[in-house]
Order: sequence, then C-alpha cells, then structure tokens
Amino acid sequence: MKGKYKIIIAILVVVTGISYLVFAGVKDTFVYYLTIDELITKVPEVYNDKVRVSGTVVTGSIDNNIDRSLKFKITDGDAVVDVEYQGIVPDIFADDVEAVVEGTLNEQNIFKADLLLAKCPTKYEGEDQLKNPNGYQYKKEKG
Amino acid sequence: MKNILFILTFIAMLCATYTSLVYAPTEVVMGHIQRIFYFHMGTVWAATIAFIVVFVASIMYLVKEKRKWDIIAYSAAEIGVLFITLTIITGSIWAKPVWGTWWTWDPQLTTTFILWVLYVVYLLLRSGAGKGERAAKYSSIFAIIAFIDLPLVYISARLKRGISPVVFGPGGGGIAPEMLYTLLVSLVAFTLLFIILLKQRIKIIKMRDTLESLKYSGEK
Repeated sequence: MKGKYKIIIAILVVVTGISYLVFAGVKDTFVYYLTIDELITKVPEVYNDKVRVSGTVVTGSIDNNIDRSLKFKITDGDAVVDVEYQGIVPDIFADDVEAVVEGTLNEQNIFKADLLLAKCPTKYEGEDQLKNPNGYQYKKEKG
Repeated sequence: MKNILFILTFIAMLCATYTSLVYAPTEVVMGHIQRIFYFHMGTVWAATIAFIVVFVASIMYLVKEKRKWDIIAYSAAEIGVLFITLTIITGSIWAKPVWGTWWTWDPQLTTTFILWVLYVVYLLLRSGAGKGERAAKYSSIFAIIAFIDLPLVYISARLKRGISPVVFGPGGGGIAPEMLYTLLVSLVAFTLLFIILLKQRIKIIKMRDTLESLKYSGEK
C-alpha cells in the first residue's frame, strides 16, 4: 500500500510538472520568443500582452540613465523597436549583442521590458586570438 | 586493476582542472565565467552516457529478466540524476552573469528540466515499489519511455528558438582549438569518473543482495 501511494505521488508530480511547463513555457505562441517582424505584424492585438522578443542591439543606441534605467533599440536588420528597461543588465549586454526582452509593447510602440536577457555567442574565442586579423569579429571594447 | 582505474581517473581529473582553469584561453565576450563550460559539458556528457546505459540495461532486463541488468539500470540512473543536477546547477551559475537570469523556459532548458524530473521520478518509483520483479519491469518500461526526452534535449536548441547557444556541429559557431582540447580532456575525465561511480554502485547493490539472501537463509 505504501508503495502504491508513492507511485501515485510520483505520477502526479510528473503530470503537474509537465503540464505546467507546457502551459507556462510556450503559452499561446509555441515559441520561446517572437522575432521583431512577428511582433510588428501582431500590432495592435499585441499591445499590453506579455511577450518575449529578440533582436540585435542597434550600435550606439544604448542610453544609460542615472537612475539605472536603460533605453536602447533592437533590430532584425530591418525594423527597429525602442525598448525601455530598468533592472539588472547582463554582463555581456552591449552594442550588436542579441538581446531577448520580456515585457509589453505599449500604444506608443515602446517596448516596456521587465526582463532583459543577452544571448551568449555561439562561437567561443580566446583572448589572444584577437590579434589574429583573420579570426574573430568581436571588438575588444565589447568584453 | 581497480586501482589503476582510480589512479587514471584522479590524474584525468587533475589534468581537466588544470586545462580548464589555466591552459584554456579566456573567452573574449564572456570572460572567465566561460571556463565553467568544461565542467558543464563534462557533467552533461556523463549524464548522457548514464541515461543511455539506463535505456540499454532496461531493455536487456525486459528481454533477459536477469537481476544483473536491473542493478545496472538503477545504478546508472542514480548517477545520471547526480550529473544532470550538476549540469543544471553549473548552467545556472553560468547563465546568471551572461544571460542575466538563473533560469528561463527556453526549449533546451525546459527539455533538460523534464529529463531531470523523469529520472527523479524513476528513482522514486524504484525506492517506493520495492524490489519485486514486477516493480522492476514497470520501472524498466518507464525508463525506456523517459529516454525519448534525451535526444530532445540535444536537438531542441537547433530546432526551436531559444537562448541556449548551438556551439557544435552544423549551424554552430565552434570553439577555439585550445578550448576543444580542454573540453576533450574534461570529457575523458568525466567518462572515467562515471565508470568508477557505476562500478562502485553496482558493487554496493550486489553486496546488499548477498546480505539479504544471507539474512533470508538465516531466518529459515
């Protein structure tokens, strides 16, 4: 009898765990994030919906304020979205980095992010390889 | 013979520590934190081998119905859970400064979490259901089904949008040669560590079996 209870608890754990994940993880979009293109095609229904969007940080667009709030633009190479954020900034966040923002797009087409994530590079290169002109694309000041 | 394996593992672990902390170049964008990569990959590698062993041993148990295979499956599952837990912990430590979060429901992280839950449940099943042959058979079937998630962990980052990087293989960015050598040393070290742990765990269960049978014959 004791064994049976444990099995039932175990199965309950799996079922609730997985259904929670499916529900919370993908919600109605079935993707981890939207591209900027997808975000724009969803206007105006997307206004004030909580979404995750990914884009490349536009070079020179990062504007740090004294109150630790942050403004920057992300792009897919085509369209540009203005982002406003206040909170913890990932170490590698910089110009040209792929960022993922979580939050809502307001009617002024400004994305109010409450979470800012940075994608890490898919290419790992050593520091000394920077001297190799044929090597890495990243600039030193980024690190 | 057993001591040779211990010594080899010890040396390999020392080498892996040296190569990942000293020999490997500091990554340009992420800095020193990227060195956790060698440990992160080592643990996920060991967990992968462990779950493959669980899968094969579970099939063998259903086919041959020999206690030996059941012991191997159970032991490997325990070690697999240990290593996948370490993978998740090291991944979190890495993600916090680099991505900006301890955790996010990205496809690869989600499938990894499901993998962890499945094998924790497997261990729960084993501990709760006793040692009967039927319990062992049900557990084997569960382990075989649970294994489906393992390839999903590997392909999810390639098939679905996420935040986990695809570093290796087609579409991956690749790593510096010194980083690759370091990674290989680390994988060898973790493979040896896995073999040692598995052998020890199997030995302990066999000893317990012997003890049980002695107790049983004593009662008669």
